[in-house]
Amino acid sequence: MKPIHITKTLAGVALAAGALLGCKPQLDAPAPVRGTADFTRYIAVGNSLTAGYADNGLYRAGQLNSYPSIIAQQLQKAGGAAQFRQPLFPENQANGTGYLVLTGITGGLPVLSSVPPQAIRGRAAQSHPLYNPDGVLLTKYTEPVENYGVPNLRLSDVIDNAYAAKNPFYERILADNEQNKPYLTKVAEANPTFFSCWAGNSDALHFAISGGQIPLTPVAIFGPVYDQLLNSLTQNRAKGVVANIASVTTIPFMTTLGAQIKARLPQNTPLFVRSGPGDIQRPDLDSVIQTTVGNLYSSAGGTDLIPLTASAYQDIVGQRTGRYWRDFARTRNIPVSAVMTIYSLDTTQAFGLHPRNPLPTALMLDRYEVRAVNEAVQAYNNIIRTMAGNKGLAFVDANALLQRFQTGSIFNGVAVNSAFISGGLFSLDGVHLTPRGYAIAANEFIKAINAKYASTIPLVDVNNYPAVRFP
Amino acid sequence: MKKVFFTIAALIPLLAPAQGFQVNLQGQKQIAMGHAGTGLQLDAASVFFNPGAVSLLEHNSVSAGISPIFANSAFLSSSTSQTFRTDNPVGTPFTFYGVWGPERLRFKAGLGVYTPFGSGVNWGSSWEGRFALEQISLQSIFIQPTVSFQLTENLGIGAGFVYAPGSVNLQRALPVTSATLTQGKAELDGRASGIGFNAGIYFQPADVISVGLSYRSQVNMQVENGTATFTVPASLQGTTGFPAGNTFNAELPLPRTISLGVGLYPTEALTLSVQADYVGWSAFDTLAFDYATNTPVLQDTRSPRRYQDSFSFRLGGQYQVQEALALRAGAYYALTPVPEGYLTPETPDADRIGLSVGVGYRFGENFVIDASLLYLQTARRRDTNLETGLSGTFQTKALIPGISVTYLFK
Repeated sequence: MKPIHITKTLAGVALAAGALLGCKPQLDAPAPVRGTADFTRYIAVGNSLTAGYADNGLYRAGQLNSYPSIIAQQLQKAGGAAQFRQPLFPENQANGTGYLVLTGITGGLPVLSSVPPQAIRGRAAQSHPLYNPDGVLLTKYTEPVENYGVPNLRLSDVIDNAYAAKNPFYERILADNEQNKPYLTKVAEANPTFFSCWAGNSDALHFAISGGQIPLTPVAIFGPVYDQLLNSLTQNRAKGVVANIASVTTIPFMTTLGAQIKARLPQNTPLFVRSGPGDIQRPDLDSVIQTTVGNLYSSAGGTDLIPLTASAYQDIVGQRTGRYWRDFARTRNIPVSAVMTIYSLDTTQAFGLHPRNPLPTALMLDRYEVRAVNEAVQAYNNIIRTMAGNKGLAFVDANALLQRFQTGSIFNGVAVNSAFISGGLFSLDGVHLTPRGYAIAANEFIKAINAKYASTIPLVDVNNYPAVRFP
Repeated sequence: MKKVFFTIAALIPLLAPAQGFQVNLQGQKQIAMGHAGTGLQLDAASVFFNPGAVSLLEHNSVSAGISPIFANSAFLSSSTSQTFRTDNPVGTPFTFYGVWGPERLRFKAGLGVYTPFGSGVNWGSSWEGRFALEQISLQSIFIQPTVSFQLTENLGIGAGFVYAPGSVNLQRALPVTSATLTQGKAELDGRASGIGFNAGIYFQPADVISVGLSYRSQVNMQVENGTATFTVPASLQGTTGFPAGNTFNAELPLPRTISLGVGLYPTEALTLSVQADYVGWSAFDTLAFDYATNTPVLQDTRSPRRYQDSFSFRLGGQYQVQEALALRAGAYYALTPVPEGYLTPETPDADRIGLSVGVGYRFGENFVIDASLLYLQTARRRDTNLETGLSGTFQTKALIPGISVTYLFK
């Protein structure tokens, strides 16, 4: 063989090599199928979680990251509608109601700041202590929507035909001639082929975060109204997915501060707190109960919860001060002396450590209140699971999901748990979720849909959705 | 020669696929024959395949070869149904061998410089497994001075000392997000080195058969004071977060390999070779990074790998068409050392098959050119990694052309 042949051989080899270089592994998933469900008109029903509320506010970026919009985007791959409309705040009012941002970390503790609101269009005729303490009206959005999430919506509210006058988030999505339309009617008119319903959280949440002052929705009301709501949604044989209520006593809003007080005072220090069911107008009128610092909740155990509303006061626990009561009097426009008399206070005693200068009920969810709210959530959840089963709907056990995040879960190398800020699940308000948390929720809904309706909707990569953002 | 070596080294030696991160591309003749070279004495590549066979080589020689790797891996996510593909750099494993012995003495000295382990995988910074790995580059160059003695006319033994410099660069996304939504990143970069040995025995009891056994020891590549760079938002920098100027230590075991090969010579023109390799992958139990400065958010890491010892089986043939021209073909099958639950994007390994062809031509008395072409692919393997939760199906295909030039002398 002559060199010329060798050259030809080598050229042939090189050519074959070139041809094979294009050969790559063929790994492609089959196209998603919708199974037995029809996703052509999907609507979402629920409260602040459904609206995309985060960082103590409703703002455009949060709305765009809502779990229903994530679900809708995935449903599109299996015959879902091309668009999913939400009552977005306009781009020039993207900050919406305002929200919290993390602006620093000092001594290992977060520094939060408020972004001011942009979407306040005026003053409401009247404020509402729960739904609208500031008495504002928000920028309207009366175009048709598919996301009916209304922050603060309780089950007991969905049949209330005066609800728009109380809750500015509901008022803003109603046209002028709809202002007396109850939520139940509004969503029934949407005529969905498929729906998600994650409702009921607010019925328990406000009790917990107010330290037990805002009453729980009675179970006797919750059940019949939930039944009505599902009947309305399924009236045209729509299929859907419902989620139960995640425990409100394991959220960082309730579990973060206790550990800080516990770390700085002796465990057997007696702790005094005003307790009782209270009243949203006149809190703190019941008896003083006693516990100990060691009973405060931390990862090591404990039963009494200190909500994040106490963050301005947790470092004065144990000091001889009447600061809380002065602030209390000022925000309610009553003389400090009146507060001192009503509560028979002695602010020369150490705050929280003496029965004459106790923690106010607002700053603690004591063990009795914890038990009451957990029992209520369990009763609500029994209702939800039973009714979802009766109607043949897909079911998401959000409560079990949140329990798993007490220890944590790992997503493609990223650990997520329910710790405040570092955990990645909860946003800066300690109650609502981060975009990553909402993506995790969306995936749970999609898994439940796939399991019930034999569909193969793909999940999203939750790491494409940010957790808490660091400066 | 020194200059040539360092020029080649600068090409970025090493990379990718074989079994685990072992690179079985250590001689063009042998690559073409399924890399079954331990039971044969074909050329100076015996310095790698079987130092015992070196003393029986007919010629003194020097040779240099290179085998650029064109490898593609793909990942189909079990959760998102999305497919992601690597954009790997072209790996360039190379070999240099020299063998010399005085005429009429039963002794030869040899030198091998080769790249038996390495990896070069780039999945990019936006794929689903980016928090497990964005890209890794693992390089090692084995420098092996060798002596070989011919105990009898048909029995040789030999051994070489291995010094292995190398380097590692590992990049992954960090799960922290800045206010402007940029993703954090960790980069670990360091030089490494290790030592070991390679010993073999070669026996040709009859004209029609030869047998070889080799033992290439484990080499522990130690990385000391590698650079650990963390790109994180300002509030997470410093002594309570990710301190600047941090360093790390790590150790990566390159496993021992025991090879048993048999050569068969049914006719004068035909050579057949079969071989089994047993690779001690169980040495790779844990990938640990020990940082010089630990903080609440930066702890030392210990990632379980739990590799298992595993076999590969090799078969090859050579047909001497003319005195100057040889054609070769081969195949191999390698069992994965990676157990279920431990598949990672750094080594997306699975049982694999390799098919090879090659040609050799001798120009005059002194020059030989050998070329090979190897195609390999892994089985599709679905796994959920226990440490990261990354779940999906991996597959790798690679095409590796190669060429070497040999100069023969008395």
